[in-house]
Amino acid sequence: MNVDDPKLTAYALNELDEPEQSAIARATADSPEGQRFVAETQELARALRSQYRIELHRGLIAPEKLAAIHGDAFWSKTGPLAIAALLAVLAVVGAVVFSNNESRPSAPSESSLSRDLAGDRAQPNQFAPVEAEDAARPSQLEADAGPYAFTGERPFVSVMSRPRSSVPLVVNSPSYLDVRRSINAGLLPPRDAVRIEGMINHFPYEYPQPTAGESFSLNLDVVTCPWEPTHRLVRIGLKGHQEVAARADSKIEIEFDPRRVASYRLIGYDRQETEARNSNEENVGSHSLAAGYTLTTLYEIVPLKRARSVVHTQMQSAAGESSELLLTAKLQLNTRGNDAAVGLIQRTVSDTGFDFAVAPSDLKFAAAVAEFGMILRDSDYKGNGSLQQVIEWAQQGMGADVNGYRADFIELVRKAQALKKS
Amino acid sequence: MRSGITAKQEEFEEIVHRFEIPLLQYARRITGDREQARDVVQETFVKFQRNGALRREDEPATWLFTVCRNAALNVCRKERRMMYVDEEVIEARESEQPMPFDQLEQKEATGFLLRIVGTLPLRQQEVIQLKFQNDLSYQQIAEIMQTTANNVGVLLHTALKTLRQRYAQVAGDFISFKPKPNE
Repeated sequence: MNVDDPKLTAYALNELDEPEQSAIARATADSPEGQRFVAETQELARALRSQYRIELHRGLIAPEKLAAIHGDAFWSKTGPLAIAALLAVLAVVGAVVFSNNESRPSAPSESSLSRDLAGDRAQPNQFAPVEAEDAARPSQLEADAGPYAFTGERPFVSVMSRPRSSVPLVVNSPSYLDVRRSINAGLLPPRDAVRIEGMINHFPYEYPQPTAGESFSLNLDVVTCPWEPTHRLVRIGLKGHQEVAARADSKIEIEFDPRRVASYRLIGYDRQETEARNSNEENVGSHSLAAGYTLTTLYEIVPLKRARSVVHTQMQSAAGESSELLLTAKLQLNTRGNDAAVGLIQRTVSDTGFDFAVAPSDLKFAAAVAEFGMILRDSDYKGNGSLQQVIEWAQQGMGADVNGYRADFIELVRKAQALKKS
Repeated sequence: MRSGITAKQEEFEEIVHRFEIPLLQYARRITGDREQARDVVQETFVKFQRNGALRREDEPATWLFTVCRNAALNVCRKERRMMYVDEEVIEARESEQPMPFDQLEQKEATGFLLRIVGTLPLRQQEVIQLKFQNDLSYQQIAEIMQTTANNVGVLLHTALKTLRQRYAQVAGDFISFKPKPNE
């Protein structure tokens, strides 16, 4: 009897109708080989069912799931499947971006996609340049996610699937003054009026002058995240010292090291429904970055406690040796008539474990503003912070406050506190 | 006595409880992305509730997996900014060959079989999950995957054969289900 027959598997799994079922039963009665195949198949089926049950049970006793699936727990739950799927996604995403970078006029044929996939597979250690979490280009997916899914908030993004993130050099949201006007008028602002990146960048911050020969200074700091102490807070500070006309697609690109970072979240840049609908066509024109221009961006990071073994091995061979780097930030300045992105400045940072208490005062203040915004938005990610803590962090981060802006901010938080209570 | 609405809500919650993780895993395998899988599954449940699928008398599994699969494939199409038919999406992902079997580490017994499943081609993984995690029949799986029961039978047969061989390769290291050594 031929045991390499799908019919026999179907028989073992009780999937056949009469009269086939009886016919195969008779045939296997005379075949020890056939009987063994059926027994083994049933044994394997039982083992699979039981392992799926165990796995599901483990998943179900965990309290998270959809509500908080951004956490690392999902990894342990999906286990090997997740690892396999993720190794796979690197190849897919790589292929997609690869075709974009080539600016192909139309969709590549299937065969060219297959080639891209194959090409990428040949270099599994190379992370593809991914812009999926690109603040400069709001994704279109949200528009179709339905009202249930849409909150506009940027979620935590797995570094395994999207190692790179980027932020535009120009913040377009006038938000802080709107928020201030609203609270001063006795009303807590509506959620969509609170644009955290605009609030943070309303305030002046001190960054070192660019060194001779460079037109920007790019500064990175990592401290304990004050509203979620198991996370790390990264501040990226950019300062220019002479006027530059930068094309609107200029950006800072951040690449996270998957050996150190499980996931990250860009704070602010929350999308509004109108934005999500008419996406992508905005990258035209230039912005003049005035002398003394600064940009402050915060990322909340879920650090990796232990390296994922499979990935770890791959990355080590890619980098040549184990690295302590948390992330690499690259300023990509595009100017008119210059199509190729100019990687002007690149900086890396390691996490040396600084606590929030020893953070620079500008960082403390920016964190206070960010948390204030998250509380006003009633963000899923506001963590343990309260308005009282916002005031404390802002006080610790007062610095010289030459213009009195920070003192005014603290006043504003107090007013919001009073409004919340009433 | 419970009101009708409460009973319906409870029934819905029960269905979410039962299918949430299987659907997440399923969508994740197709999209390759955890966040997208989450969105896809949320969308599936919203549709389920909105379409009054609870009133259907038959088992909701086929409906849920079908809708989830289509939503996941839609995400893939959008990501690639091109039109695919289902087969092509799956095959494009399949050509990635998830994880080479010899790269598997930690050959502990618990869950190891599922790790080997993770080394199979994607369509075979899909059939295995639907069959053994969710106890669906060949016919139901065929409906979900828009193919024939016959083809499901071939995929499953091939998957189990490979699984058995690969398991036997490492069976010396641990024992959980009782393998007969290959001759």
